[in-house]
Amino acid sequence: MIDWIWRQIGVSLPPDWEMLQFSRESKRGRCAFADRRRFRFELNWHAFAAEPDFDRMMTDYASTLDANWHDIQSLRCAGWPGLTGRREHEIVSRFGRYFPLIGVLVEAVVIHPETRDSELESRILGSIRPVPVDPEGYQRWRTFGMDLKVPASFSFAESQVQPARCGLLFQSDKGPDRWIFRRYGMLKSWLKTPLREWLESQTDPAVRYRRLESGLIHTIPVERVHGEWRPRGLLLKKGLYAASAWIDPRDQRLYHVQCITSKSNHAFHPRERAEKIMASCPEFFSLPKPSIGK
Amino acid sequence: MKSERTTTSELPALWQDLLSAVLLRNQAAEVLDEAPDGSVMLAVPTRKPGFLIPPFSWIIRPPRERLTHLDPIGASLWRACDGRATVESLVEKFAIQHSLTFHESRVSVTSYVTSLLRRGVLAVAVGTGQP
Repeated sequence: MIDWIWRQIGVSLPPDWEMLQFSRESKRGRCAFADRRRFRFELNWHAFAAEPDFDRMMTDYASTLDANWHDIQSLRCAGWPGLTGRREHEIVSRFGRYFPLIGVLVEAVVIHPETRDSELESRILGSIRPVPVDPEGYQRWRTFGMDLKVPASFSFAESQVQPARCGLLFQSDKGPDRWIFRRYGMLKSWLKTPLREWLESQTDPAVRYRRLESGLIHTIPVERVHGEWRPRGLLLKKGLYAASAWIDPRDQRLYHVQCITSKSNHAFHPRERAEKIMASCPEFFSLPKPSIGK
Repeated sequence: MKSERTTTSELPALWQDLLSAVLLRNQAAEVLDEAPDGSVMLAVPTRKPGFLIPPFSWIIRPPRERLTHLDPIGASLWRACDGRATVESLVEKFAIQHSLTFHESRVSVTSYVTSLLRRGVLAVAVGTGQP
C-alpha cells in the first residue's frame, strides 16, 4: 500500500492505483484514483466548522440514490458509516466521516468491479486519517512521488501534472513566497547536460549572490543553489532563495525543489539545503504488470 | 455526504475501449528515410479533395503525399504497431522502456497515437484485441 497525503487527509492505497483527477481547493474538493481499467477510489472533502447531522445526511443521500442503485444497504466498515449498492456492473460503497482535528467532512467512495472486497475496503478506510499541521508549522503533502513540507499559511496555487512531468506550486497570499516542487521522468530523452548545469539553467536571474554546491542525501548526489531573491523593480519584495536537484536512482526521476521565501517566513526557509522540505518517494513508481486477460 | 452532482466514480473510464484496440500501420505509407538515431521520415499518400475537378484541378495541384517525421521514440512506437498488439500491450512496453507508470505511459502513447491517426500514419481497429 502507498501512503498519500492530500489536503491534510492521509490514505493508503494499492501501489497500482494512480491519482487521475484532483482538486486544489481547500474548502471543497475531490481526488479520484484509478487502476489501469477504471476509477477505484474517490476522496471528497468539505470543510465544516462543526460535525453535521450524519443520520439525516445518510437518509437524504440514500433517497437520492434509489433511482440508479440497486440492493442498497447501510453498513459500517472500520468505524465509517456508509451505504453500499449495485450500479450496473459494479458495486459502489460510500462512507462518510467528520474529522474535527482538521474540520473536514470526508466522503470515501470505493468502487469494486464485480464483487465487494470488504477486506480491501476496510484496509483503505482504516488508513484514512487527518494529518494536521506539525508542531513546527508545516503542512505535509505526499503525492505524485514527492513527500513535501510546506508552511501551513501557504496555499496550493498551481499544478502541472503530465506524464513524466509534475510540478506543484505553493505560495503565500502576500510577498514573494513561492515554493515549487518538480519531478521529471524520461531523463535519457531530454537531460543532455550535467545536473549542476541544468540546475543553474533553471535558476532565475533575480537570484543574486548565488552559490552552487554539491552534496549528498544519504548516498544520492545532490546539487544546490542558494542566494538572495532580488527582482528588478523598486516595489518588488526581496527574499531568500534555495534550490536543490537530484536524481533518485531507484525510480530514475529528477527531483527539483525551489524556495523563494520572504522575510516574514524566514523561520521556514530551508537555508542552503532545500532538499530538507522534499523527499523522493520511489515507492510511488511501479512498472505495470503484464495484463492477463480482462 | 450528500452528492447530487455527477461524481468521478459515476463516470465510465473513457480509456477502456482504446486499451483493447489494435493499431495497424497504413500500408500505403512509404518510408523515405531511416536515420541512424532511429527516427523515420514517412510519406502518406493524400486523397484529392472532391471539389478539385477540371478546370480547378488544372490550376490547383494538391500535394500527392504528406510527410511525417517520427522521432526515435515515436518511430519505435510506430514499428510496434504490427496489427496484432493491443494498445494496452504497447502502453505496457512503453512504460517498461521509459520507466513510467501505467497511466503516464497510457497518456503518452494514446496522445501520440491520436496524432498519428490524424495524419493517416496509423489506423485503429476497436474491439478486435486479444482477450
